[in-house]
Amino acid sequence: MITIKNLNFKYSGTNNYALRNINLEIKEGELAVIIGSIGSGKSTLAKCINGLIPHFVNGIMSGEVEVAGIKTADIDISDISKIVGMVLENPLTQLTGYGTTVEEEIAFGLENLGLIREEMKNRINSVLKLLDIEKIRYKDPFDISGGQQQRVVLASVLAMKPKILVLDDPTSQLDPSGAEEVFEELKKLKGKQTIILITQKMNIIRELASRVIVMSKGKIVKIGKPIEVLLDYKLLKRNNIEVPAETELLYKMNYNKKIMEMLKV
Amino acid sequence: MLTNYIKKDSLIHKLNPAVKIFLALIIIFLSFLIRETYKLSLFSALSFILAFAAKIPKEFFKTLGFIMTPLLITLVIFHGILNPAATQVIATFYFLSIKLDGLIIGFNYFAKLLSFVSISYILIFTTNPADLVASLSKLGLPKQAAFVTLATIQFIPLMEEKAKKIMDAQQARGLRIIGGIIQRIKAYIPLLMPLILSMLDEAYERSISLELRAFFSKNKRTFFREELWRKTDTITSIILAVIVGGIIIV
Ligand SMILES: Nc1ncnc2c1ncn2[C@@H]1O[C@H](COP(=O)(O)OP(=O)(O)OP(=O)(O)O)[C@@H](O)[C@H]1O
Ligand SMILES: [Mg+2]
Repeated sequence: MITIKNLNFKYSGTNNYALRNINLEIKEGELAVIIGSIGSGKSTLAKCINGLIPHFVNGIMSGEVEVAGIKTADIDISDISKIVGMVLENPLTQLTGYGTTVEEEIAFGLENLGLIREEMKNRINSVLKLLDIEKIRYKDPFDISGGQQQRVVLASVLAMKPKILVLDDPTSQLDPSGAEEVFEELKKLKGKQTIILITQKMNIIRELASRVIVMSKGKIVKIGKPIEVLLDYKLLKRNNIEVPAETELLYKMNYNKKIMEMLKV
Repeated sequence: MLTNYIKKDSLIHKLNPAVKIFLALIIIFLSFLIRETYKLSLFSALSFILAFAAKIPKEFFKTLGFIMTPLLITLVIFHGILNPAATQVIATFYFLSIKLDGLIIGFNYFAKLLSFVSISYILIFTTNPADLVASLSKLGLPKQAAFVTLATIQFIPLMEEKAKKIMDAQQARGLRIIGGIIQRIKAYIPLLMPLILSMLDEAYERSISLELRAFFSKNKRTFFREELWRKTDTITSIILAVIVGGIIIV
């Protein structure tokens, strides 16, 4: 579903490459989680997948990104947005404020796609139902909780029926219960949709991820099963990633090595 | 909500946005064209009546007062006292003399501004922004331009909200805004930089969000909200046309 080959990217005005030699293959229906320390290039990679790079952001790009068989460099962002949906950190800047109700907010992207009213209604009904936010349908999107706002953003993106969903740290601006709401939605979507999730929340990875991609200084340093990555104390430490308490404990008790060996066989 | 739109159930709110847009455009145009202060005042009076009809007098006059009072003071001082062309002195304090003809010019400018600011706020306060943008695009404005209009309308409430947040944060960290005017102004300076920076940041993120929602797509845009032209729209248009025509003639 996503194929990335020898991708490098440098923001204009900077000296260092934000992405170096990225190679990645994501299959249909996967839920891949990307982790990595601050500035490791996670968001930059996300921007490459949805075409913001090279179409919107200035810089030097080499290599290839293909989504659903189409090279992102070859088509407009508005066409990519039909293939790749993206949810970012801050719900407030993602709500367009175009409409005065949740329903109209969701309709915004559909209007831009030029859909007929009947189709818009159908799609709005089904995403509201899927995310269980029918009761806020007529509410003002700026008048609901952060978690609900982020779910409305998610609904707005899903209504555009993208084949791939990319979420860049969608819960960092939310309180724990808001974050929980968003992760609950992702659980519902898992398997039905190809998803790439960037998050700092280690506890969620175990539950959700089919694969974990670890980034550091613009490179992918590891791709593995959740348990492989989560229990790899040294890998996490070396790349400045928060080590889950269990892993820390296991490591201190020296079990970690044995478990890692067991996993390899 | 990010706009100034005030949700109410009123005849004015229900009017087709095109009627309000045309009325606003015509009055704005006439405000620049017409010289007579009394005619200009009649246009403002029309907006005032519409504010009551729209059940938003409180919000309307509060906003108007907030925006127009400093303008009134500036214009009166500038033309009544400082305009070198004015000659008819009516009162003198020390070396400052207030001149009648200057005051008249000042009030005339004020009447012009009041007339078009009033009708603009009627439009903004009573029209759902989605409908406003939709109508503007249907009237032939490119959607980018229509959206810029919306963004501009959203800008002020957004800025206020941001300013409040940053001020709270700074006060929590010990910034004190008390004392004389100079001290107060000085105290606001540290607020400005973060305000501008965060507004720029957000504007960037917002434009990304629009990209991601296919806003710049070349498809012909469709509209979710149904917009109907009702009989009341025709009747109101005729009444408004008669009133505006009447004001021009008298
Ligand atoms: N618009 C930009 N212009 C210039 N440099 C940028 C820009 N955006 C990011 N960078 C730089 O590129 C590198 C990677 O940034 P990126 O935002 O992809 O990191 P990240 O892994 O998403 O970090 P975070 O965890 O903070 O979100 C960083 O060194 C960052 O400073
Ligand atoms: Mg990031």
